[in-house]
Parts: sequence; C-alpha cells; structure tokens
Amino acid sequence: MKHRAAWVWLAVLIAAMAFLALRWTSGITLQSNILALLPPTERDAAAQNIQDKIANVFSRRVVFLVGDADPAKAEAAALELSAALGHSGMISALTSKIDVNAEQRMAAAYYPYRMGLLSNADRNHLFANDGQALVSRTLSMLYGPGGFANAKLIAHDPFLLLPAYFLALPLPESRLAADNGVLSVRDGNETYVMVSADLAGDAYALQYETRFGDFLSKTLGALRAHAPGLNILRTGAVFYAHEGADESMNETSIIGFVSMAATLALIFVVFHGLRPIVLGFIAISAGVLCAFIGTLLVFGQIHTIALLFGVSLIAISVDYSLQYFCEYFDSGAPDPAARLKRVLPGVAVGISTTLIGYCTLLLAPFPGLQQVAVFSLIGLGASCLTVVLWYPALDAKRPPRADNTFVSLAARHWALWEDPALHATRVGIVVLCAVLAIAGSFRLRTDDDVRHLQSLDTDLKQQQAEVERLTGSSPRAQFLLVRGANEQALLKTEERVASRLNHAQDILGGYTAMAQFAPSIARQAENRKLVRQRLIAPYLAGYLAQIGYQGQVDYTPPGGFLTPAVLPRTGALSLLSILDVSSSPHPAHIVLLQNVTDASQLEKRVADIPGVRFVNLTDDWSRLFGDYRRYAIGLLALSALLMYPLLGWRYGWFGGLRVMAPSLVAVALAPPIAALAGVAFTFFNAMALVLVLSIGVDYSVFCRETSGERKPVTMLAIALAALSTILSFGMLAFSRVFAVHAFGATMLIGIALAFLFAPMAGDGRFGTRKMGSI
Amino acid sequence: MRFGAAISLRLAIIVSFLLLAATLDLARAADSVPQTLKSGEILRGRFIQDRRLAGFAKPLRTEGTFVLAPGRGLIWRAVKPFQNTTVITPQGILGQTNGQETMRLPAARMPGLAHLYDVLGGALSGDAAPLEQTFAVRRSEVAGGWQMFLTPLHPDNPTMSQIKSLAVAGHRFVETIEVDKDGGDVDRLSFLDQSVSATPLTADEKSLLGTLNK
Repeated sequence: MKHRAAWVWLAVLIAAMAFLALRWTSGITLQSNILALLPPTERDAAAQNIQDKIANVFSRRVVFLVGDADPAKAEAAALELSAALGHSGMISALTSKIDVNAEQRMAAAYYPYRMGLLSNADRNHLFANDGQALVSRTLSMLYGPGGFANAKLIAHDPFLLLPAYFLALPLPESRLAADNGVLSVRDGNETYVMVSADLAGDAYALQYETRFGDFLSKTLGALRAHAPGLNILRTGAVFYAHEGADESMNETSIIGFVSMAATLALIFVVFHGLRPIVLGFIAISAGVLCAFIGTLLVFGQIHTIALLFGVSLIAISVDYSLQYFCEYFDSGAPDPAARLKRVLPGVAVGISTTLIGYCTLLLAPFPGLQQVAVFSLIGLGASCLTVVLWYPALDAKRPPRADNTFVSLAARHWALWEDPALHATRVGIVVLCAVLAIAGSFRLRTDDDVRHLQSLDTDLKQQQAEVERLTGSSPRAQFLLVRGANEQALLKTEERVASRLNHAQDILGGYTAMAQFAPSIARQAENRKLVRQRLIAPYLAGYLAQIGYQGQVDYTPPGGFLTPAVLPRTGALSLLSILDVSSSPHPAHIVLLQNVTDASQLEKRVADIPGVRFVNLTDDWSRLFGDYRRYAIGLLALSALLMYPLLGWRYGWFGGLRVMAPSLVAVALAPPIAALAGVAFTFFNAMALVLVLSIGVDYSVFCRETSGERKPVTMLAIALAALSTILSFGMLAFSRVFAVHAFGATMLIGIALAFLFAPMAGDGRFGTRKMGSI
Repeated sequence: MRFGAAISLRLAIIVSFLLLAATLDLARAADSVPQTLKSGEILRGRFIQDRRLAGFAKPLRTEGTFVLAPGRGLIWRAVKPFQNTTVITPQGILGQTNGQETMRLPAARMPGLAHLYDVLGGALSGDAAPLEQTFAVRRSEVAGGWQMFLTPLHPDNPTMSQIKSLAVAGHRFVETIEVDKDGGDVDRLSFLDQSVSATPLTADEKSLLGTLNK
C-alpha cells in the first residue's frame, strides 16, 4: 500500500517536471513591481481603473538629460539617443525636438473661438468692469520693443486677447529653455539636453525591462565611446524596476544557493554522510517544483518576491527531515520505520501549526502574499509527502550510530533551561533580553513609506534628484480626480475647482486642468458676453482711432464653441491626453497639482465640491502599507488563536500555553531588539513575525514531544533546523531590497529567540540521562 | 499665427541686436580705439522707436530710456506715449505698466532666447562667429561711421519668421536700427545720448533685473 503510494508520488513529480519544461518554453511571467503585491485599493472600480491608468502613464515615462561641456556635442548626442529610441520600437512617444508645427496646429485650432477665450487676469479685469486695463495692455504690446502685432492681427483680435490667453496656459514651465528646437538647461559648464519618452511596454514586465536595459546600455555605451565627456542622467520607473528585478533575481539565486549549500554542509558535518544530503535535496526540490507549478496554475504568474520568500519557506521542510535524521543518534530507533514512527507525532503537530501559520497568509488580501502562501503551502506539503513516502524506502539499511559530540552539545541547551545549577544564568538571560527589548522599544518606529520599500539603489536616486534639480520639476503623483455625467459637467466642476486653487497659492505651486485649455461652453458664452459688453462696446472705436488703424475689424464669434475634441494632442498639448482619463462610460479628468506643500489642507479646500477627489498615489500606497501592517498583526494574533486549540487538545490547556510561550516571547521581543539595530517596523516585519510564530511553535512542539534519552537528539535536530533557518533568513537580512531586508532581520532575531527559549516547553526533567555535563 | 513664442521672439531678437550692435562698433569702428563693455560697465541712453505698420494712418512712436548691463540684462523704459517698462534677462522677459506686472515670460517659453544670448555674448567678447551663423552680414564704412546689413541665413527658422532684414548704422555706438518685417512693416530705432559708465546699477534697476529670478 505504502509502496504503491511512493510510486504514484514519483509519477506525479515526473509529470510535474514535464509540465514545467513545457510551460518554460512558452514563457513564464515573472513580476517584479512591488505594487503588484498590493490588493485593489478600494471597491470603487472606476476610480481604481483611473488610478491604474495614471500610475501606468507615470511608470512609462523615462527622462534623460544628456550633458556635455560643449552644447553642440550634448545636442548631437541627445538627438542620436532619441533617434535610437525612436528606431528601437520600444517606445510609444518621444520628445526631443520641439515640434514647431504643433504650435501652429494649436493656434489654428483655437483661432476661430478666440472671442470666448480669456486668461484669468483678463476675465477678472472685465468682471471688475476695468476694460481700460486691457486697452493699456494692448497699447503697450503695440508700442513696446519688438512688437509682433500687425494690421492682420489687429483686424482679427483687436485687443490681442488670444496671445494673452496662450501665455496664461499652464504649459510645462521649468528651468529648461527651448533652444535650437531642443529643451536644454545650463548648469555650470555643462549643457544638458532633455530627451523624454513614453515606453511602449510595461515598465514592470521583466522581459521588457531586460530588453530595454540591454538596448540602453548598448546605445549609451556607443554614445559615450563617441564623446567621452558625456554625462547622461536618467530617471524613470523602468530603471528602478530593472535594477530591482536584477537585484532580487540575483539574490534569489545567491540566497537560495547559499542557503541550500550551507544547510547541506551542516548536514554533512553532523551526519558524516551523503544520504541525508541527497534525501534532503530531493525533499526540497520536490517541494519547490510542485510549489512553482501550483502557483503558476493558480495565479498565472509568479512575483519575484513571492519566489524569494517561497523558496526560503519551503526550506522549512528541512526541519522535519532533520527530526527524522537525528534519530540516527537514537539507539532506541534501529530502523527507518521506527525512526519515522518516533518523530511522526511531533512532525505532524509541527506541520499542522506551520500550515495554520501559512494559511493565515492566505487570508491577507494581498495577491503577492497569497502567492507566497500558496507557494509555501504546496511546497511544504510536497516536501513532507516526499519525506514520509520515500525516506523509509530510500533509507532502508542505515545502521544506528553511536552518539557524537553534536548530541552532547545539544544536550547543553536543555541544561541551560533545566539544570538547577544554572538558575542564575537563566535569570541573567531573561533579564538581558528584557533590557534589550525595553531599550529597543524606545527606538521602535513604524515605516510605511512605499518609496522606502521599492529599491535602495542610491545611484538611481541620485540621478533622479539631479534630473529634478536640473529640470526644476519633480513629478509627484498628486492630482485631483474629477468625475461627472459628461465632459461639459467635468469642465464646469474644474472651473469651480480652479477658482479655489487660484486662492491656494500658499499650499500649491500650480495646477493643470483641461478646463484651462478648453473652458466649458457656459464659460465661453459668458466670456463672449463680457468681451462684447465691457470691452468692444465701450472701447473699440476709441482705441482704433488712437492707434490710427484704418482697416476693417472682423471679430465675431462663430456659431459653435471650443471643445476638447477640437484640440490637437501634439506638442505642448500632448499633456491633454494625460488629463483625460475617461474610460467609457465614465467621463473623468484629472487636475495635475504641482508642488503641494500641505496635502491635507488642499484636500480640505476642495472636499465640498461634488465629484472631486484628491488623490496622492504615493501617500495612498503608503497608507495601504500602514493598513496592512496592522492587518498583519491581526493575522499574527489570529494564527496564534487558531493554533491554540490544536495544541491545547494535544497537551492540555495549560500545556498548550507552555508550548506557545517561547514563540510568543520571541514574537514580542524581536521587533524592539531589531529596532536597536535600526530596523523600522514595516508590514514585512509583521509578516516575518507570523512565520516566527509558526516555526517557533514547531521547536516547542518537538521539545514537548520528546522525552528522556531522545531529548538531546531532538534538540540537535532543532538546533540544526534553527541554524539552517537563520542561514537562509539571515541572508535575507543582507538583501538590498528593503522589504526583504526588513523581513530577514526580523526572522533572524525572532528565530534565534524562539530557539533560545524553546526548551522551556519541555518536560523540565533534567538529567534523566547525563549526556553532556556543564 | 504663432503667438506665445512669437511675442517673445521678436522682442528678443530686436533688442538683442540693439545690445549686440551697441558693442560691435567698439571692435569694428575704424577710427576708435577698440574697447568692449567691461564687466561692471553699464551703457545708458535714450531711444526713439517708430513702428510703421501697413494699414495704420501714422507710425506708432515710442520714446524712452534704456539701461544695458552686460551679463545681467536690459531695462527698456518707454515714457511716451505712456509709461511702460520691459526687462529682458537670460531668465526671460518681464513687462510692467505703472509698476503693475503686465507680462512675464520665463525663458522656457521662448525658443531661441538662449541662442540670442550666445550671439550677444560672443559679440561682447569680440567673437562674431555665432552672429555669422545666424545672419549673412555685410559691413561697410561710410562717412562718419559704419553700416551693417543683416539678413537671416535660415528664413524658414521660426525664430526668424517675421524678419526680412536688419540695417544697423552707427559710429562709436549704434545710432539706428531698421528692421524690415513681413507685409511691409518697418521698425526704426534711433539711439541718443549714449554713455558708458562704471556707476553701479541703482537699487531700482537691480530689483527690476532680478524680478525674473523670483
């Protein structure tokens, strides 16, 4: 019966390998955007849709500044770069040359509707019945140096209102100057020329990232070879993502390799044999194989962070193998069946509690964490199945060994908690831990800032800061989302918003709204009336006489009105396609906000306008991480509660508490002690604690399940388990991916504490068999 | 029908050439010791601008004063027919009427401005190359001074779109500039009572030149 199950399992694994090979050839999607780990933010699907769209627009933008001491060289290199980008087929839009014709197209589109288009200042003058101010302005333009007005212009726009309207449009203003048809900025001796592009692919899709990264390093390399003095700055989500993905892929392989190598080396040293290594490797590989396929089947893709965590979590299956192998040192278990029988109760309870721990991850509404949970649940299950089904057969003839030095060493850990002579040491340890934790609790701080979670690549951050300094603009993902029944309703709402924002200069650098480019029809009609009644009627004749204009005036409004659809979306107006975020049947615009200094105040000032919502992508994400950090702590409590009935059923209600106590202490002490090392408490630390709890409970369960002569043997297995866990998660603490680093550091400290306190869950009977004397 | 950029362009071009020419003669005039405006030196004077526009009964005449501080900018103050001040610096252009700001154009809105500053800067340091890359230059000596006739090398360039030619005449300083524009429009600028001094800018002038940095 058991034999047949082993064969079936073999068949399943072979089928799994074949399936994976098949999937591999058709391409597997590896995700690396940390935000893909996040849940949909809210139930408002339309708003979510819009935010996704905007996030997408922001994430696709890349900006280069090509600098050289020689402006001509900088310009030539910039044009070469944009030509290469244009030919690469990897971008959808490119700005390097200023499109002169775009300005003409823009003017032509506006021209027929000029009478209804007023700058804010002009409109205010007319409202105040101060038409004279506009007459004076026109005169100063006519008489001023280098005047551009001529008879033709005066005939069609006698008060030059359209040029004034154009000048007031919120076109991108920055330190960049439009020069020789390119945007450039001078900084010291360097001249930087800007090249900006929109990617045609998903900045976070690994394959696209890699292709774009390769293309760019080739192109930039060629440029630099040509002109060694070039200084090329770049910024864009794709570079962070590329760096991040590279990083976590490298780390996955390095951490995975070192973790496995160290674990196997440990086993080899302790057991002087290859068989546990081979068997351990088989168990882990079977687990990872099944987990990978299972996750792919469930989610259709795998996130690199899920892969990283998942592989590490499956390595926990080594813990259970170790329980079995350490029975080699137990003279009371002569054959594989006996060994398995002896460790099975502890392993069964351990696996059950661990699975409970991982299952609570499933309850987190984070797609990424669900991936981690599914990956580790399947992997762990498969690993354990491999141990139970295959080990007895593969391990048939192993003779029992005499006890060795490692067993005596392990015995000392029991003595630390059970030897009456070591009471003072115990108290010392407890006091030391308490002092460390209290000291650390003063430094404990939470950190949910999403910008800290994505990448620690300082070079890219410096380049971004430099680009922002040189261009004088920092694209912050802050805007107002405006929704309404139709486009005209949106424009009217925006005009209400604009009147508020015009008076919010204390907390706002500027704003860009569709209604500024295409006023609502109602506004245009009102403007026309103002111009007719308060400018043309009282002033036109006198003004024309003053300047001596003798021609005709053709200044009559057309039948229709300007609508956004009339405007071209090229050149400076390409901005408009960002502002319109409608997805049928939901008309929606955004109002971009620049340099918001007080977000909550701004939110308050527009809060009462229906259909308007302040959105701050960075803050929203950060708030979300905060919510889920608290959520994770809830999960932690929940998994403790779920484990307790099982432990209580097996060990009695008080016994169950004793088994949980060491892990609960570890969970409580790990964050403040980590804080001593400067580790802030994030969502990822909280998730690590969930695992500290389930792994720690395993240790206590093993300690509780063993007795008498088996105690040192069990402790050896726990020590090896803790060591291998620390080896793998200790590595994570050195990760440069902040989230992984936070997770690793907490695991490192938490597991060490759980191991330290685990013997407290034992039977407390010291010296049944004097193995190691202290 | 180009507005936003066009406004500033014309401004920049004509005024820059005033500045340029004001110093060019120092290097070119046959009978004067070559000298340039040294750092810290300031050129002041009066101007009369006659703008002849087709379809207008009479020229639009403006009179006023100007202050040129090399490297910092130009203040162009019209007194007649009404008070109006225009300030041009590498950061952009500013218009004021009776102390009220009527126009503000940062350099980012003005394609070509920085190039014109290159032309000007080159001329100030005796380097005519940037000028000759932009215009075909014809110089001639005349009785009591010199003349220059400039025609855009690239008339298709939008920066030059309305300018057909510039005629500059002067002796120690530029005395007249005539700008021929499309449609028969002509700007004629005369400069009077010019003097170079090392007197520092007044507080008022400094504040005007600094306004665009804010």
